[in-house]
Amino acid sequence: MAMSALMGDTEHRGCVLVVEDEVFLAMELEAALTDGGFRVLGPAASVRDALDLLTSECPDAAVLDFNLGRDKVTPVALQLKTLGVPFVLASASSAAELSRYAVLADITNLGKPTDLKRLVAAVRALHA
Amino acid sequence: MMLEDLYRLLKSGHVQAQGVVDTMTQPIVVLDQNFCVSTANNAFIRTFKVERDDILGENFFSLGDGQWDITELKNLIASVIPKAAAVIGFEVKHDFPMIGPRTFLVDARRVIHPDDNSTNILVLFDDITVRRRHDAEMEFILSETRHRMNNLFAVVRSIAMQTSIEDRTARDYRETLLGRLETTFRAQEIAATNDAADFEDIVRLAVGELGGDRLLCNGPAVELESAKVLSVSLIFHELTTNAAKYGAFSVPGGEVHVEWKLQAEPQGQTYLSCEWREVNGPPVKPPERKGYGTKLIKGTSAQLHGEVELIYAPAGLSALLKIPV
Repeated sequence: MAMSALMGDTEHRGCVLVVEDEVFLAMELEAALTDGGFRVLGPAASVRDALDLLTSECPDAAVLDFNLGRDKVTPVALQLKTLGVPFVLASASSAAELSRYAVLADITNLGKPTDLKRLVAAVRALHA
Repeated sequence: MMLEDLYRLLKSGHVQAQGVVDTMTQPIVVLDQNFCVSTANNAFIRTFKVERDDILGENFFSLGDGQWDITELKNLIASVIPKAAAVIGFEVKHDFPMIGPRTFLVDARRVIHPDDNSTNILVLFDDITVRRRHDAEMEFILSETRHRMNNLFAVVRSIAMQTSIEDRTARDYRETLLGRLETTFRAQEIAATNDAADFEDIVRLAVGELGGDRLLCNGPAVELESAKVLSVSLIFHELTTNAAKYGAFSVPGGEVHVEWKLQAEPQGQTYLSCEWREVNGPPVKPPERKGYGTKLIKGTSAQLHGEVELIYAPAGLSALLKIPV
């Protein structure tokens, strides 16, 4: 009884896609979001992984790093826009660099190093 | 003063002035009050690839199919100069038909002839195209460096935050933290300077001095792409740390055998299948709780699209790692 209630609860937790290629940062984001009451999709370390995950499940929100190895996260951002999934950035890139990409124009960048409390609050605000 | 002396003086002054103008490495052109070219120095001829005879006496703005008919330059020379005596460092960006896109800093100065009050305009061009490109490159490098510093700091902070402080001494915390940092930095160094790295080299480097002749490696040469170096290094670093605390590296005579092979799957993907096996160590029992080391090993394997299985056999820990290569 308690078990099924718990599982039901898990099902209803908001699902957040995490895209981050640094393994320590990815795990930290995952832990912070899990503690904040979310279920994490990923973490995906590359554009391809993220797009693959998006074909299997549509999350409620997403947290994206900007630089993924030699790639930029923009294809993922475009796909999220298409799917109507709100997202925030957690990137060390400057506002000037990010502003060159139309798809990232109005997106909040929480910066890097990322304040995890702020991040969870921002994701909660997206999800609300 | 004799008239002849005066003439000689004037002439030598003229020759000197001509010499100065011609020696200048920046292009210089002198326009009369109707903006027709009265003099152009060698640098001007060279820089703009024009013939001297084609330009002398011609209206500057209609030269060479109107290549100088640049609105901002025209405004500067035609309207600003009559009011101000000089304009310094006015930037003009223009795509010239003969020489392509250039950026010039233009200095223009009004020169009034003392005898007849006629006005000449001296225009000097400083080609800063290359300088601007260098500036842009430098700015790019600086911004990239800043970005990497922030990233690095984020990683350091993240490792420090995730390295547990529960039930451990400060010394133990410091050693664990530094071990992870050093592994990360070393792996990033390898990844930054090489396109690929040898798997056995990565394992030996991650195990470090604890290994020596107690680490026995056996497997074919496998190249790991640089993006995977950090993850693989971390996995073997964490296994080593665990072995040093509780496993084969914690007692004299304990050994670690690392064996691997390449496995081709039907879908065309090749996997590196590797076993880390500890022997002659103390009896092993499964840990009571999953530490961050274990989480890191699992998280890292998942990031590599691989899988890892930790088997706490009484005779010694085994780790089975399978990652796509």
